[in-house]
Amino acid sequence: MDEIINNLILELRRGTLMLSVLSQLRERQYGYSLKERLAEQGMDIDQGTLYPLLRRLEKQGLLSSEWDVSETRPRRYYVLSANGQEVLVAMSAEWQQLVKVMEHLLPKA
Amino acid sequence: MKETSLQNGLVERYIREVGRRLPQKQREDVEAELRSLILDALEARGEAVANETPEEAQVAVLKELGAPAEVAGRYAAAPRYVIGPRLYDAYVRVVGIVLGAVALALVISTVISLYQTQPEGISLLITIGEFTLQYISAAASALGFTTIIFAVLERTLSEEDIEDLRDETEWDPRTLPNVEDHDRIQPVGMVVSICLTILAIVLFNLFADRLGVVFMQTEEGWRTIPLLSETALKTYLPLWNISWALTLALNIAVLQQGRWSTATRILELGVKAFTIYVLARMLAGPVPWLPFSSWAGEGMQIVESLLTQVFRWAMVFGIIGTVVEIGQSIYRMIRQR
Repeated sequence: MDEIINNLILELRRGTLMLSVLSQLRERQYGYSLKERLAEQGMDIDQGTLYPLLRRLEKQGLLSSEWDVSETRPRRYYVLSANGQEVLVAMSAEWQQLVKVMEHLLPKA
Repeated sequence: MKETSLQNGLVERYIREVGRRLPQKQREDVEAELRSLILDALEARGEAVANETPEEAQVAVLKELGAPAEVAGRYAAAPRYVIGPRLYDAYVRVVGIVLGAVALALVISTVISLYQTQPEGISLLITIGEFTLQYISAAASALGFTTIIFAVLERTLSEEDIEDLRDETEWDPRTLPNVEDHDRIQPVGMVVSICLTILAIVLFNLFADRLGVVFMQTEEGWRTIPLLSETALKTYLPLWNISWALTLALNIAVLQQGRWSTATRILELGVKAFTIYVLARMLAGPVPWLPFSSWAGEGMQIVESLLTQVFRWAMVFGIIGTVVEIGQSIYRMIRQR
C-alpha cells in the first residue's frame, strides 16, 4: 500500500515540477541556487531531475541560458524567455482553476 | 575546498561516466555545468556539515545526484527504448504475420520431407526435432530482422512522418463500421493476399522448373527433382495467370477504395466464375505433377493413383465451394438493396 501511495505522490508531484521551476525563473538562477530556492519554499526536487529538466525547458524555448564567468567559478544561468513568461501566465491560470476544482471535489479533512 | 584536488577524484570520474553516455554535441557543455553544480553542492555541504572528510562529502553529494546512467538518461533526448508506443501496434501486427509465414513455410517443408524420406521410429522423432529447432532459429532471426527494421524506423521517422502515416482526416464516430458490415475490408489480409499473388506469379512464370521441387537425401547430399509436369503447366499456366491478374487487380481496386462496392462485388463474382472454369478444366485435364514413375520406383503407383483421386476430389470440392460462395454473395447483394 505504501508503495502505491509513494508512486502516486511521485506522479502527482511530477506534474507540478515544470510549473514550480518556471515560477522561480522570473529572475536568473543557476542550477544549485534554484534548487536551494525551491527547497526553502518546501519544494524539494532531486538535482538529478532538476538539471536535465532545465535543459529540456530551454530546448522547448521556455528558458534561455548563458554562462557567467565573472564569478569564482563559471556558472550557467537560466531565466524565463518571452515564450516562457507567456506559458507561465497561462499555466498559472490553469493551476488556479485546477485548485478550485480539486477543493470542491475533495472532502475537507 | 581546492578544485584542483578533485581532478582525478570521484567527481571527475562521475562526470566522465555521465558524459560518455551523452551525444557528442551536448557532452562538453553538460559536463562543464555538472562540474560547476557539483562544486556548488560540495561548497554548501562543507558549510553545513562538520567533521566530514572531502571524500565523504563527495560521496554524499554524488549519491544525491543519482547514478550516472540514470542522470545521463534524463539528459539524452534520444529514445531510451527499442520501439516506442507510436510504432508498437504496427510492430506487433508485422511480427504476427512474419512468424505465421515462417511457421507455414516450415510446416510445408516438414511435411514434404517426412513424406519423401518416410522416416520411422527414432529417426522420425529426430526429423521432427530438427524442424522444431529450425523453426526456432528461423523465427528468432525473422523476429530479429523485424525488430531491427522497426528500431531504425523509430529513430529515423519524424513526428510528421508518423502523422502522414495516420489517417489525416479527423476521426468521426459516425464513420465506425456497422457491427455486421460486409463491405468492410481487412487491409492486412488484402495486402498479404496481394503479396502472395505476386509471389505466385513470379514463381510459376520464372522459376517453374525449380518449383514443386522436393529435396531428397542421397549419398551425394541433397538432390532436387522438378515435380511439376511441363505439359500440364503449359495448359494451366495461362489460365492461372489470368486468374491471378484478375485477383490482383480486384484486391488493389478494393484496397484503394477502402470498402467493397457493388461494382467490385460484381467483379469478384466474375473472378469466382472464372475460378470455376479453371477448376473444371483442371478436373478434366491432366494432373499437374510429373508421373511418379519418372523419379520413383514402381511401388509408388498406388500412392500416385491415390493422389490423383485426392486431386480430382479437391477440384470437385473447390468448384462446389466456389459456387456456394457465389450464391452467398448474390444473396447478400440482393438483401442489401
